[in-house]
Amino acid sequence: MRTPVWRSSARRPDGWTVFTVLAAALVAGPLLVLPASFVAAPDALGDFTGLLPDAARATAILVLGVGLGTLVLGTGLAALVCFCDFPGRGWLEWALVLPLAMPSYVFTLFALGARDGLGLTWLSLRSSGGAVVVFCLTLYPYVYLLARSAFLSQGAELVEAARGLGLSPLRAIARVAVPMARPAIVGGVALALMESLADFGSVNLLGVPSFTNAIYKVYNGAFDRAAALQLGTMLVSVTLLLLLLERASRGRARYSQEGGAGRAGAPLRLRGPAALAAVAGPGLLLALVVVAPVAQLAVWTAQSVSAGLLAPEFGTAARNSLLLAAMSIALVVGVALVLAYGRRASPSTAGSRAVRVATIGYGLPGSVVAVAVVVPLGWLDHRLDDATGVGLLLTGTVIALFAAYALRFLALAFQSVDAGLERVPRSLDDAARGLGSDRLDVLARVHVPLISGALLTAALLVFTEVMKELPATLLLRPLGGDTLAVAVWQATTESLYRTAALPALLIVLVGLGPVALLIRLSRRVA
Amino acid sequence: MPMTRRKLILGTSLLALLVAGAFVGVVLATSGGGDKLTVYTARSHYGEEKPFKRFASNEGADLTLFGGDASSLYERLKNEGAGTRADVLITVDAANLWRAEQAGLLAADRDPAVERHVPADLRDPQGRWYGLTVRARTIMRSTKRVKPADAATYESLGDPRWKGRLCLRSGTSEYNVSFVADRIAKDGAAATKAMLKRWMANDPDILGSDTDVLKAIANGACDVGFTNSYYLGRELEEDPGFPVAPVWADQKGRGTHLNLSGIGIVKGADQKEQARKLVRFLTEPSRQRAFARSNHEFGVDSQADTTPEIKQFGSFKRDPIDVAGAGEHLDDAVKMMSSVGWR
Repeated sequence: MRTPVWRSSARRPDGWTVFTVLAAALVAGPLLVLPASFVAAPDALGDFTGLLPDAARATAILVLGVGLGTLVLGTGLAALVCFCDFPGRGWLEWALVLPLAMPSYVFTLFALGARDGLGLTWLSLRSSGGAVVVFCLTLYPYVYLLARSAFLSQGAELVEAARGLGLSPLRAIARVAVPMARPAIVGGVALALMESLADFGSVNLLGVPSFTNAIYKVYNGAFDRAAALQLGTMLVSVTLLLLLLERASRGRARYSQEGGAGRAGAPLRLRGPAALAAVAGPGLLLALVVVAPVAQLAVWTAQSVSAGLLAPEFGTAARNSLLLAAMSIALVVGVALVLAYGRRASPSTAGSRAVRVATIGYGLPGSVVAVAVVVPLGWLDHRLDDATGVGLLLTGTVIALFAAYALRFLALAFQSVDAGLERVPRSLDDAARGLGSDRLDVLARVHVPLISGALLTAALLVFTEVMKELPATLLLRPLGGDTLAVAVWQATTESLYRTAALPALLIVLVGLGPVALLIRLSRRVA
Repeated sequence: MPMTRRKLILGTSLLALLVAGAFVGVVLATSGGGDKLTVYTARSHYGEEKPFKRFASNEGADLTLFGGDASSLYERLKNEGAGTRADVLITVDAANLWRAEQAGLLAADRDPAVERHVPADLRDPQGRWYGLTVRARTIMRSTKRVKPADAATYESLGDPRWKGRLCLRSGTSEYNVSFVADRIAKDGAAATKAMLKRWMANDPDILGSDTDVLKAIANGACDVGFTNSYYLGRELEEDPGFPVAPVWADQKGRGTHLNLSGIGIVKGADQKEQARKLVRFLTEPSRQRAFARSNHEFGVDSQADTTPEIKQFGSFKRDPIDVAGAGEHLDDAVKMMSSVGWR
């Protein structure tokens, strides 16, 4: 059902639509640099066409493998903790989010080291298949988080009704609860896929010839900015296709449920071997993805401390990481809320398109985002400097960095906020409007309180992502703006793994705190 | 606490203020550095900052080290143009010196005091950059399974006997690209391509780093590899029994390929005098030695010693990279490597 976009009182575009389109243009505007590179240097890519078949193949494997893997792992684990009861469930429910704090590149470093250390040389990690495994293990929490909060907001009545109609518990979950949570689950899978397509650290360590690796080769090896941007354009097209598929899978269906918030009650009780398996399976997963890497990093850290390899810059780096991550939350979640609510409050083709455009940056490698941001901002900066002599205000400061973070991570915040809003029945909007509130009022008094769980999730995702972000930070950070991820990189490029251990450990530990805290908060809210 | 329209607007404004305040803070914190000497360095500066600190305390200079990989430092310098705060650029690789020079990012500054310590083939004739240390990129062998004579030349890595037994670092490594570009400059494209094709016919394991290559040789996954020698120095420092040794390649030919870590003064540097002093200071033989020793490299001045871990393998004939020649062929090298399948 569409509500009219044009107010009868005034023949002008609706304020929310204008606002949405403006915000999207500001965030995603720099991406115009990508297609523009085809105009500026039409045959730049001609020299590198040899890279394309490999990149296409690797991308297909990643999309299929990571898509399927995170779908099964994330949804399965979310269903397990939401609909089953077993000893240790409360603990597992939040612990399963912890891998979110483990950057894929840190886990890859650990996995390679462990494989060599244990003599498991037959285990072929350096392949597309190895990358799929690494990504599934580190990225499933995106699906898990969104699926879990969707399951929780469904309430128990639906599954119970299905069971009352004679379905077995498993079937009730598979045929009622999971389809109901489809927007959230597909949204989570889309995030995991975009993340894996944009990843650079792991694919480089594992030698997977993906698009990001091809971009790195062209950009760092040949310093060919135009060809790199053109490869980036192709990658964006893949992302765009994924997002369109996601939209198409949702169709016009709406999945809100009136009054269905709260604990998914009357869970299925597991006993004996089933209960044991329910604890042991996820427990092993966590031991592999969180406990073992942290232990390894701690050992390396201890060794580097005793060898006096402790760089004093690590303190500054930790402070910078925390500040950047915290400030990004305000910016990115704020913009995401505006876009998601704008589209809901005043549906229009322009608004929907704007949102789609604004969120494609997530599937782009940080280095491409950084170049896309630096080209227009740098141009503007030099004009400003010529006119006023203030120096490089935009690219010499955190402004450019925030522009890149917004472009890169908006999709992440948007997916959670939007999934949260989807679950708020539209009748509430209409009722509140009917009582005389304007749309800003409705947002402030109805939606923000109702979706505070989704907002927290968005904040948590943005925080941990910024903590982990490397390529854009490397290119755009101001002088003295080294972060922990930069410190890890500085050391690992020279294979100084022990020196890298402390900042890597700090990234993981600092990320674990908010992950644990926010999942607890969101449990209380949900 | 119910959320109201006013609170939402208030909250949003507060956040905006916070972000703006932080922005102003960062601008103030970073713009006051008019008298700061700023060094953009692609060398990993962790554990290597001693010569810089010594310089800073000697000269009473306020020195900032800013790290980054070659492409990001280059991109940054290019974007900053005349507005840059950088005074000195240090790279780990000759190709990147050449790129910076070609892009007009480095100031020509001939300094006889520096030229005395840096041989002519390891510096720019116009003084835009000077070599700081050199690094040998050569063949590595398992001391348990491979005799030195079995892999004496770069060509020999294409010998079918190494089928499935050869480990290489990925083709994205700037050291590999520079090596290939140097070969193209000296041997021609056809000969270089033929050699790479034979390497690839051996189905090499492509690994992520030189250290991984050395470890793969040590644990038996490979017999021979191709790395910078200082990575071996680090392994030997930790474990003197590490079962890998270098073969100084092509001793009957041109000699072993040497790459170059170098330094140059940035065009538009605010602190030109201090920058010159730093270049002079870091290229002094004693400083070269300190640099070389901190990372098992070699000084550009052949008198400057390396560490015992590397010295035990004897001295060797050097084939320094032809910076201008290799520079011209960098793009060809990248294309050639991707066409023969060096991932």
